[in-house]
Amino acid sequence: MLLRRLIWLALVLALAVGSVQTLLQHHFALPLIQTAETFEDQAPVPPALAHAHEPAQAHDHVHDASAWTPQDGAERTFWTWVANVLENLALALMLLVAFAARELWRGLAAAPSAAPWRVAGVALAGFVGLHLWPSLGLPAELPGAQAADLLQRQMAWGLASVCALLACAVLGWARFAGVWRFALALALLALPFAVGFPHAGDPYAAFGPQAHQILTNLTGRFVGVSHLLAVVQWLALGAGAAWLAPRFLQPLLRPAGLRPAALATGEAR
Amino acid sequence: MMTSTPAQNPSRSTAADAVTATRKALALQLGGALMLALVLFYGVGFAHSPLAHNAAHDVRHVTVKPCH
Repeated sequence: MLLRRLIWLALVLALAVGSVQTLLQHHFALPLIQTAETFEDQAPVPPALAHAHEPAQAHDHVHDASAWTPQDGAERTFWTWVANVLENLALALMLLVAFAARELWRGLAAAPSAAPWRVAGVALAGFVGLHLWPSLGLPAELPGAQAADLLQRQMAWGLASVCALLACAVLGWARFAGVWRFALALALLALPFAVGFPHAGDPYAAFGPQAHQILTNLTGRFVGVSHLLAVVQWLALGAGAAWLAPRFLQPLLRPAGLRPAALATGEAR
Repeated sequence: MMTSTPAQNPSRSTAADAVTATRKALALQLGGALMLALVLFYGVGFAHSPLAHNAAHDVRHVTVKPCH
């Protein structure tokens, strides 16, 4: 059964990639986050921001003392690992589903030996659509940074992501004339920037000059780390899926007893 | 190019129908897997629940999801 196979393959990929990501995050990202948190805890709330922090917004805030938070150390790392595995399970499923949908759509008429390259193409689209494009508008943030309304930023993230994924699908899969394909893809890529990303000015306005300088430097490094880890993550997901898909996924996309030629006939109907 | 009608070649048509039905069943399962992926992706990266947020806090920051 295809669904069961998809879930197993994605789970294998997610356990491997999620575990590696947890190690890399622990080494490269967590020190930056925890340094920022020491500043966040000391941050004075200036009157202007105190006004912006209506009770409704305070609800979204992480350091809501009443909510459970994992203890620093093993517990925090464990939940980071869980979140990484679940996140990569979702990404691996999307990657495999997109690949399988394309195979099904084209009736497996194309050469099966090209499958690893087609998986790599989907993984590239995943990197652009689910990391690069949203992060160009809303770069990685450290705890303590003041930002625009959470829901507005999430919606801008979603718009950038969907537009970039559609642009990749148009470029890679659409069959109409080249010029119009590029024009449509460019328009989709430009749309989220035309709509605009919500920003709330200087993220560290609440801090003194020295802390401001340190946090700005930390943020620069954090943005670099987030890009680096996303590149590693999508390379690993793409390479893993490119190896697994032709062996364990493609055979299930071919109905039993029917050769690819029969499938093509079915498609031509 | 396939030009035969079902009346001319009934066995061919049955095979093609079976292929169409199988492709529909496969597409449905792909849809199910995609739904599962979207629910997981939302839960880890975007859910407003403080529990989900705090558990996935560091992952949200590193993977550039809007946070706080």
